[in-house]
Amino acid sequence: MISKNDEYILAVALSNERIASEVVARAIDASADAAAAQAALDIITDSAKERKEIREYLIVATASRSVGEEIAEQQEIVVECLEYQAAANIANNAALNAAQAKVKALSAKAREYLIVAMANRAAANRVADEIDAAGAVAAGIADAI
Amino acid sequence: MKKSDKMRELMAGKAKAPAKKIEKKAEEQKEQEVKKEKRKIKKKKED
Repeated sequence: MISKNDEYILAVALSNERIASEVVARAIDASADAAAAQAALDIITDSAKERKEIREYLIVATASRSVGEEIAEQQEIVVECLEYQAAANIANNAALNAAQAKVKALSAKAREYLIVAMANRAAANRVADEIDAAGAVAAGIADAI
Repeated sequence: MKKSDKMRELMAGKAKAPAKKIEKKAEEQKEQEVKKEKRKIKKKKED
């Protein structure tokens, strides 16, 4: 998980504490079973409006549409994978695999833009690492048997 | 409470789970050893 201190720096960069909290809550780097995935989803309470808001704040903070969208998309993929895991339905296996195929580590460009936005290389790299770790965990979710 | 803090709590709870499991396993092992010991004593007495 992203530390409280790094969350604070992110909140300053985003100029919004609540959105920073949303971003941190989506950087889940612990593998979970279906019940734990559901518990995490209950905290996130994902909605289209929320997704759009996070995306917009990331775009403005990084001053780059492509970078903001890249970070937001990776976080959305993690949540999508968690949804399939929580459902634990074999009918979702194909959809889970398709979502997992979209998991990518953040690009060097995204990292650099995040560093500039957060004005802190170490903290931005830690945040990017946590987002990447969440993606790696999501990519490792096993199919429902 | 912020969502990030709630998530931290959830993740911390998950991290603690395996430690509890190990404790439970150790207790079970101890119980089994005691039972084994009792069985041995009983057998000796019968002999």
